[in-house]
Amino acid sequence: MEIKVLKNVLDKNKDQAEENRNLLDEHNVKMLNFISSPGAGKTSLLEQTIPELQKTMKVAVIEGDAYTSRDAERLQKFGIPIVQINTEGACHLDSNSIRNAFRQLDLQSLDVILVENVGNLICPTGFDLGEGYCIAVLSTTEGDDKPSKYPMLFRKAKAVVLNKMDLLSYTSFEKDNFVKDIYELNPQVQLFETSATQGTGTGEWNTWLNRMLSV
Amino acid sequence: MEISLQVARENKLSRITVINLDVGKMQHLNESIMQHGFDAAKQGTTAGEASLKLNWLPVKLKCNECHHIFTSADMKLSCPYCGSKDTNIVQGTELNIKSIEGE
Repeated sequence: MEIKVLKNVLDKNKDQAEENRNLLDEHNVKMLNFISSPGAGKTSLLEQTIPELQKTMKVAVIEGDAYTSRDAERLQKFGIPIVQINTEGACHLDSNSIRNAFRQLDLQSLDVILVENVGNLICPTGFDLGEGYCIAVLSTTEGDDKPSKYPMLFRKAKAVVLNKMDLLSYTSFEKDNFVKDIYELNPQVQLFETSATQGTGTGEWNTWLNRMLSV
Repeated sequence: MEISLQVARENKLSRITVINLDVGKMQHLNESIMQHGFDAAKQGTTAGEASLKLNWLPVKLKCNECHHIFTSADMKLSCPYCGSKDTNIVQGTELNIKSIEGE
């Protein structure tokens, strides 16, 4: 006997993500989902971003990490609320873990939540968290073929931050190919070039982000 | 797996033999990893002996300029008819349980 089901495996996650989105709207909080491979520089970028946002907004961070709390520790210096989610090996955050993280935050007092997803280009892309939009971070050392290999993320991202520009000359990264592939997938995307550890190129990114979060 | 087991219960199946899953090619999922995960998840359930059949769906897009629908094999998402980049994905991102078979 065959029984038709026709149900999306991720429906449950999507429903909870919509609930999260409504909850954020009610409290007038914006949430961004940062997705990249491990070591692309998400935390370093946040270290450059948080102090800028803090000037005008109340910021919180939700840190997704497979096992450790090292990234959360790095961000403690900013004195902002940080919720650590240990996924115990799972390769992505889901909307339910974000809902649980909200319970540890005072949404009423916040303007922005930055979510640092687990380092991975595939799984986090499929799991809507209820964010306003997602930001892809890619580093020059990973190679210029990543957009065409992981099209879902680069199609979905509102902005792509190309990090480790200071190392560009030591890699085989062809920026022209990368830029062409990115715009092929996502003509409306905002592209930024940074060296987060050096603090270069982050000004333009911060200006754009501030503008996006102020509307 | 949770959805399949629930459907089996609702339809009073004593065991599930096959789960048919529609998977869009844009998901870039690896079949052997899917099978591996499935084998782990089915242990001790009414789907313990079940097999997972993946039905791969090609990426299809619709052009918002000239309204052609086309299939993309190489992840090029611009329209081959008019060159427009303003396209919508109409197929290829699925991860749907199409049906379950059992008795």
